[in-house]
Amino acid sequence: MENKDEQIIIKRILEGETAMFSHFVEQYSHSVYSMIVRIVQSREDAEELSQDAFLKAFSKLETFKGDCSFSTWLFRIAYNTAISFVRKKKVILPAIDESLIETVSDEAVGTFFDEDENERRLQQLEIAIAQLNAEEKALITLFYLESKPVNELAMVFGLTTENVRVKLHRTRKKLFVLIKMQDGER
Amino acid sequence: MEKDKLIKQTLKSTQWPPVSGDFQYKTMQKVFLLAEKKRKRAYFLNLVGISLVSLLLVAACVYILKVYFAFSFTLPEIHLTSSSLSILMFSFYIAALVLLLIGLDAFMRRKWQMRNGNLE
Repeated sequence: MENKDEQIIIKRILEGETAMFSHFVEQYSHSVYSMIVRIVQSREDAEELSQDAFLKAFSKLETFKGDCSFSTWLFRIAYNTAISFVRKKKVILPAIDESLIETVSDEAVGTFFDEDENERRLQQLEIAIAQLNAEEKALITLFYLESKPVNELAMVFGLTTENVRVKLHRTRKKLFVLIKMQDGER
Repeated sequence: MEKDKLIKQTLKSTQWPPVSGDFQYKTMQKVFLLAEKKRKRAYFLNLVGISLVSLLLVAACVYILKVYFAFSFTLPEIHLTSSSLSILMFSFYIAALVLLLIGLDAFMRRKWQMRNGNLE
């Protein structure tokens, strides 16, 4: 949906045509849910939080300025909703030596993740992704699965584009280290 | 970083159960409830706003009348004489008669409407 169309729909919703909001629910429910479910790792919680995110978006619709796409704005709300939920749960993630991540070269990571897929690697990567923190999970889901550009990710996470690039690089390296730890090479 | 096909493939293959079929319906029901709540709150706020402004206008009118026009709000003293009392009693009689006739009219109308409704 184009930004202009979105603006028209938002205007109509604000004028009282509440049913028009179903366009957004229909269009973005899957993407919002798939990002949240990766963060909270539970279908029931993810559905409830997705619903909360849509309700928050509806109640704050008049504050949407249109300086980014509606989906970016909605993802920001959904991300914040999921993060608050995860913080309350206080999930303990495995500690990783930061120096290990620093020593990994970009080339090694690039070559590794461009390998042809095989079942074992996919399984290892799945386990590694589950060990990332909430922000990292949301970041890679939006970047790789939803193909969100870096500038939109910056708006979702409230960071600069440079910070998002750094975080993405760091997350790839972390995944690489987590897989190597599974291999027992380090 | 744009390639990373292994990460993309893993994210695509790690399928969580999809969002339930009635998600959209349930969400929209809640949205409608929220919209109704918002509408009621706006109505209540409007009502409070209008009442406050009206009160302020009345207060301003009273102030202007009292301060600038030296208007007195005390009621004049009324002395009832026998002639004025008979006029008052007559007025009460007429008022009671009018009320009785209006009541009778309403009663007869309702009866007529009920009978008409039953016939249809």
